[in-house]
Amino acid sequence: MLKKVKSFHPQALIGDDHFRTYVESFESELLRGISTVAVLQIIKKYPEDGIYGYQLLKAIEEETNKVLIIEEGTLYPLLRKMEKDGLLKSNKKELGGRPRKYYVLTDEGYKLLNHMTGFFSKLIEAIAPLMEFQVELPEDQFMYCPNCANKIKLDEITKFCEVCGIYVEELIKQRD
Amino acid sequence: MSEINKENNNNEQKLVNNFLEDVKKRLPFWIRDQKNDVDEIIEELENHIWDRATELAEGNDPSPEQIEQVINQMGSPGKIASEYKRRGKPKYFITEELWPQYLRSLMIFGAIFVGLNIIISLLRIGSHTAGAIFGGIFQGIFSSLAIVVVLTTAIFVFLSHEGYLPADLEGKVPFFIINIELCRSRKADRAYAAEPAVKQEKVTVGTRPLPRTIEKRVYREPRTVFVERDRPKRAHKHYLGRDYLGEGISGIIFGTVVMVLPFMPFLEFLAMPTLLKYWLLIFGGLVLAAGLIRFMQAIIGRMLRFQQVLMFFGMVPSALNIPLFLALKHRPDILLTWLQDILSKWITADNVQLMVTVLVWFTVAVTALKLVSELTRIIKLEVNGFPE
Repeated sequence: MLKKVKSFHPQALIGDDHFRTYVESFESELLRGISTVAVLQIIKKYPEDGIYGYQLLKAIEEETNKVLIIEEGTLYPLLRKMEKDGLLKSNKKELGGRPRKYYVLTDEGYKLLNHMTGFFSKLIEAIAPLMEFQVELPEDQFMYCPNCANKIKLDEITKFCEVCGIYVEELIKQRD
Repeated sequence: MSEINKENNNNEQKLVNNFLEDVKKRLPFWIRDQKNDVDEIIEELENHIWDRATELAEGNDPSPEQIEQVINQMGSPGKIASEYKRRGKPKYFITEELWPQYLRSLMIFGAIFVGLNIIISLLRIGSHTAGAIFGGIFQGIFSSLAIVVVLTTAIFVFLSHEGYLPADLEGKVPFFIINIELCRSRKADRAYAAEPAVKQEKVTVGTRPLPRTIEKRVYREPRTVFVERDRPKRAHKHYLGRDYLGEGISGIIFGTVVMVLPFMPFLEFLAMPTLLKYWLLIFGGLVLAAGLIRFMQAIIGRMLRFQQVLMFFGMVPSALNIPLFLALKHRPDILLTWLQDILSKWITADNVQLMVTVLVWFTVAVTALKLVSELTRIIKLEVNGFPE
């Protein structure tokens, strides 16, 4: 957010280099993990054709009302890393002019995204009272693995958590 | 397309190319080694610039100013390239991933330089005094270890900063530094010692409430099944194929006896010279120290680093034996004169001198060989780990 601040009063708190740097590094640290989840969530929406870098950047801006802005210098290395780590796979296709690299989630990427989303959701739920806001997770559609916080869709028949392997069938039945 | 348009397009392409060339130059070496990866990165960035610029130009051909605007928004080539270097977990200035390789390099190069110093010092025997040789060994070891530490640290700090991971170094540095399997922690070493031996065991799984600690067996149906469990193998008694306990105990006993015996009243009839008594005291002390170190090695067991450190310290008393025995040759008043006196009835003085000379050189040669073999063992331990 601070990067969006074009001007500020020299006597304001962020007028001090020390505090401005502190806030900037806090924001970039916080955004690093969130960006990973956001990028994967957007890619998840394009399971067939995939999505290319610039399109992804625009989609994130739109979906988050331009609050979460990932710099291009950060996005491409992040995509490359996730591809090397096996979360994404890419195809080169020429759709509408230039040959572009289209990214889709791998099976492992899909599972890890569920885990990351689950963990992130439970984290936000847990810290919400501290921040003086409320969060209501969609627990009528999903359950969150009691062991690893993986987000599990209730209508998908499953016996075990795909991430940590815990036996969840009984837990799902108990909820019913 | 008109000539003016073509020229404009060339200018814009040149701007993009210059920028991308700058990024390419600043990419870390481990990426630059893989041409396909570099091409892909550059192509993706180029597409991005054109997409963004075309959007700014509202679907028309972008102007050089618009291209520049996009490039400025992207940040400096150095900043973009540095994002590709962001790999590995920082641990001090060297990443956690490279830390084991760093320690291995220090150990291996340190051991090689120590070995070289000892060998060079041995070659000086005869042409230099014992003091000069002894001092030279330590001076050489200290200065070469300092160089090894500084150079190795500088190299690994650079590699960490560039985002290298152990896999990127494969084929570029000697295998014994990079071998990831061998770069395991002591904890992992202990786990390794317990190689699985198959044993059938009856267990009931999944019928109890969910445990706090989840084990792999939760993948099984809730019923009684037979599973294959790992059974720890007993650790080897002799970690390096040697009986350290025996060596330690015998060294302690022998060393103590050698230290004490010359001062016992019942041996006064031998009329040993005071110098010889003190020589035996020092010799016994060195044997005792070596024995104590061996004993500690036997007690600590399969702790790789401790074993190596103790083996290194164990070399010190052995190395000190060399100048100690050479002193017997250079100072006849320690042993030779006394021996010649008490053996004069049976052996000529020349023969006694020959005997002492043979004893001294034999001990020096055996000690030197032991030092080289111990050094080899330290390196082998680093490369191969403990024998199974």
